[in-house]
Amino acid sequence: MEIKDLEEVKIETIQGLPTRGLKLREIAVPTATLVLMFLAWEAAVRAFQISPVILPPPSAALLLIWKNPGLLLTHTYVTTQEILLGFLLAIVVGLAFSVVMIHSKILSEALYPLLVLSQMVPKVAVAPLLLLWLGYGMLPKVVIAFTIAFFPIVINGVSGLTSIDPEMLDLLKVLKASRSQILVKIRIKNSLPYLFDGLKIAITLAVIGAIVAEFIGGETGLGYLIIASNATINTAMMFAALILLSALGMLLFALIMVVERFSIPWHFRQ
Amino acid sequence: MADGRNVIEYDRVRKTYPHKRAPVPAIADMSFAVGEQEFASVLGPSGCGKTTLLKITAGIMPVSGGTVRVNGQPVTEPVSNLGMVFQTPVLIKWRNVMDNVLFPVEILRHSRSDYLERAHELVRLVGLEGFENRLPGELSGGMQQRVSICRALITDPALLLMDEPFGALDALTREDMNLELLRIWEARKKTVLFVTHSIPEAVFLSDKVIVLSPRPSRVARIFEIGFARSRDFSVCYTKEFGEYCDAIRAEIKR
Repeated sequence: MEIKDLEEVKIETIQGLPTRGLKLREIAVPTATLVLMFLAWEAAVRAFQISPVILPPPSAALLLIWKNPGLLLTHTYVTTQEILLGFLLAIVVGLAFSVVMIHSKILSEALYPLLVLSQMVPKVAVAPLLLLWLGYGMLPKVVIAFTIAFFPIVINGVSGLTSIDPEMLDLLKVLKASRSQILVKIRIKNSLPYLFDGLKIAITLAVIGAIVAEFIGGETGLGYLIIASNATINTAMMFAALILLSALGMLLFALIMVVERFSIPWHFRQ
Repeated sequence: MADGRNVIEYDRVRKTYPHKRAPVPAIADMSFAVGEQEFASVLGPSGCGKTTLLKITAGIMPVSGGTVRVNGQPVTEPVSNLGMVFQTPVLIKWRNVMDNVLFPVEILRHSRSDYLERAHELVRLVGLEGFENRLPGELSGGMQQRVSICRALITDPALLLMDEPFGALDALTREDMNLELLRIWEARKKTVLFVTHSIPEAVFLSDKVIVLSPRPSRVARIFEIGFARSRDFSVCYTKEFGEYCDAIRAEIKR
């Protein structure tokens, strides 16, 4: 029941997104919106003579990126690694959990409350503890990104693996299909559309997880850069980091959408 | 049609669904038989346990009492050499027509290549030639249901169970499918147990129409339909056809 409820909520938030073949318009419209937004920002800052400490013009932030590509890319690279490692770990562990949970009622009952609990505890509150245990390197960032990204993958994995038409289950019974045949031939592929929706949520969460971890204890990464720039009131640098972070998040999201289109074309052809 | 041997025998079959407050009796006491190569239809009001009866026959649902025998053997597990067609096509969305038809072969771990020719023949028989590589999402509802009939026939089962297979189709497609089904049945004589809501469909297709009472169901009456084979739609305009339909309708209303 609980899994179903969560599933419905998630589908509603995701449905508005374009998931069919990318058309020129689908790229042009968001790009134009973004450019317009930057122009309006630039114009507003200049027109109202807003102090650059409060709100620098986007040109200042972009200029910083242009002038310090090495520094900014190094930080971006670190954060990207943390996000991707956490995300991949979340996929592996999340899928394993899903498969175990649909095959064992007892394990499902044992794990489900823990899963929810793991999601209820604010990561910001646990992060210092993880840093204490795992040091200040990349590991705690990966772990935090993982713990936060893993939840939607399990929830959607379980929904996908179990959302099989009852008549299909009857057919499989008539054919005397074994559990492993059902898993391999039906359940896994059937779960993919659900799983990709989960992955889209998971990747945005992984970004948040990595940044939060860097905020709390780090010497590199875009999250660290934001905190460090904040300490020196280098607002333009904060925005430069934010812009790169947003671009990174969107790129990763788009990447998942592309993989989705290629791996489940049958889902979009109905 | 029948040569006297019974393929399916129901002997005082009962089915009650467990429920917290009061168990729901679906089938009260059912006894009848379907002979070899006979086309038998089961008719009855909604919720009278027709689908339950098919599931029990296929051995994918236990009885609460009595016995079902298929080919003389009491049914205790899923019955082998049986094809089932459901109310919906239940196709696998990511498999094309051919791969859907061949799905049972894979599950039974038989060699695909041994069945390829037969799959092509079936696909031709139901008029889906040229659509072998299409995905279910690209086909109409009627075409999808034809694919599911091919899938039920791929292993050449001696017994075919059909649960309102054409219920979701429009009237014209449904008539076409009826004719096609008769063609297939006449081409490769099988025993068919066919559940339907449509009286004319049952009379047109069947050797025998079993009318069930409302839930908990029993056999209200069995009608032997005497039209000669092979049939075409001209039988639907005969006086006897109307008389059969009226008699069956009266029995259901009773």
